[in-house]
Amino acid sequence: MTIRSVCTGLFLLSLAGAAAAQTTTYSCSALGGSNCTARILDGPQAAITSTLQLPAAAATQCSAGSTVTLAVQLNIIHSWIGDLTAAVANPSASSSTLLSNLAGAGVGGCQGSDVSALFQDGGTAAACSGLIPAVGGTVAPVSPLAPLASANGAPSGQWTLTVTDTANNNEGALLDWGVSVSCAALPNYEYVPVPTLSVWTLLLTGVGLGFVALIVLRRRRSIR
Amino acid sequence: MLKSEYGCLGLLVGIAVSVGAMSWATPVSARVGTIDNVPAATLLLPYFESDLNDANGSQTTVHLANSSATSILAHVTLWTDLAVPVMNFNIYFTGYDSVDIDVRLLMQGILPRTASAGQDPSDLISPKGPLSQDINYASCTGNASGQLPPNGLLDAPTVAGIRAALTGQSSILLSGQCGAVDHGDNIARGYITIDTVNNCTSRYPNDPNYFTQDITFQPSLFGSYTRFNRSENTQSTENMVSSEADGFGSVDPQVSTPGRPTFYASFNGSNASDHREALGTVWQARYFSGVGVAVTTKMVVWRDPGVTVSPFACGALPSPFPLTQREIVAFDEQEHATILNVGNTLPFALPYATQEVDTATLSPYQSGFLAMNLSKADDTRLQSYVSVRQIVPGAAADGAPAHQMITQSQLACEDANNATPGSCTQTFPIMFGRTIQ
Repeated sequence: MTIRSVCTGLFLLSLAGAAAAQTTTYSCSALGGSNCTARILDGPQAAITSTLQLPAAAATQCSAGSTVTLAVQLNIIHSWIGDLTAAVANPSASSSTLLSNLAGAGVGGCQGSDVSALFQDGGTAAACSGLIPAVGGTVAPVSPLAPLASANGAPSGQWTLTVTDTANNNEGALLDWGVSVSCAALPNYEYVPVPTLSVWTLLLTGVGLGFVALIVLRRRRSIR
Repeated sequence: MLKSEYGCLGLLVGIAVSVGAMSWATPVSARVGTIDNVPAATLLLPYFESDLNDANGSQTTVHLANSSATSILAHVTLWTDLAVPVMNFNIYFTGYDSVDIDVRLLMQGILPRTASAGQDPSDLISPKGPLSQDINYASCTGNASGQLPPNGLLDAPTVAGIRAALTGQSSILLSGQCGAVDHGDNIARGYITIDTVNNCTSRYPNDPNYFTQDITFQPSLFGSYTRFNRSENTQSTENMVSSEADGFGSVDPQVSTPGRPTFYASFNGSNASDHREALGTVWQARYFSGVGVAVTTKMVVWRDPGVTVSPFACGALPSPFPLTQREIVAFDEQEHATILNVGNTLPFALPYATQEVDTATLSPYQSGFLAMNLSKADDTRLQSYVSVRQIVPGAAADGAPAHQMITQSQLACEDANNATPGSCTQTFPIMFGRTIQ
């Protein structure tokens, strides 16, 4: 192992440390939201809505200059996931579709059961698994969540989850959901401050440099 | 033959073929007294499992349907593997309607939600089609104990009680007592009965009033159930067991004569008020074990204990368990036979009201067939049901009923015939075990 490779490793580690995300999850049940656990009405009945109140701290959670990443954790028990659509809206009514009649092997969409997934921009596309949950891990929403974020976090106020069972037969329930806010500070090298000099400082520096130049010229003449 | 005669012959043949085709197109006629695969007044799901630890473990789903244009009400009862009822609810079907039940969801307190016309004025919960009837069952409105499952989940204590009762643990639903075998694996086991009823009842079938006030005799229900084990990549589907009733346009002495066996005879003093046919008693099943491919044969064996079983003190089996059997004979492919009861080596081979067994535990041979007389060892006549699944990992399998050699009705007929020669017109084979001995 060369000294160079060790130094490179230390540099990358420092970058990773500088960019590590700090995540806070605001779950519906923990915040005492409405319909956090609720029966999903079988189609063609109406959609169910569940709400949670995001505290003010969520909006200022991330420091200036950090990157805000929004995610939604969704836990649903249901015997035919292809029946479902799910969308989340922030207090300004900007919304993101998380799930929309996920396709499966045959007619009727994904025949798998349950969703226990973190929906996050950049995740892998949701796919229908034969195992339970049919949708798990970190997956991409159908439409991006980024527009729902604010500059320093997630807008405080009422967030709404809407779940619709669009087909007859097969039943289920929403078990819980939540909004996660991650703040990733950018690496240190991007924060090196550029020094700014005042006019007086520049003037004094110029006068000083001129004075030094004058002394140097007079010494050269005296040597001749 | 003249050309016109050929034409006439062709016409006659055509008429004959048409008449034949019309006769084939008529519905299969059900016969009370034998297990037919036809719509019925009672369906039996002989064995279910739901792994409470692992959603990808053994699970069971059910698909039910109404074969008639007339709307019906059905009463679902979950029983433990020792025949103790622990849960019941009602399902409404519009004409030709279908409803799915996922036992895994039942174990989470999620019941199938349906509604008759009175509870569903917008026709959104149980929508009817252009050919289906949708009527109001007034008893399903505001009847807190027996209403159709509401829009919600069962409360947590009830769910915990159901799960405990079906896994052999002390349950609040059973006044702190037990109702099932504790297999130590947290898998809920049991069986399910589904009966056509005339009101939103909360009675269990072991309540005698159930037969005078609740049940009907409509030959309308049919369905199937699927067993999954996603971790093992296995799946199998088989039809629900149909128990037909008379009393719906016909009277059959086999199921309407007090003292004759009926499906619910254990609960109504054998007064035949349920009018439902009893199931079989002697069965034959094919089995393979590791022949050529990694195949195993599993049998579902449902047995009527013959009496009402009450919740019991945990840690012991209640009477009449473990159940004995009259005889089990294992044959290999060359018809060598091993009689399991000889020397009482396996007196309790199938001890519970319902169970799944690997045939390798019943036969010393790799393949062959099993003959089973599932009356008790003292020849007390008990109805039973046996189905067989050949399981290959990674492949779907269909379960099939074992061959039904003698029904309980036929045995009753035999008894009657012995008492009054000539009174029984049916013939049936007695071909196993004791006749070999």
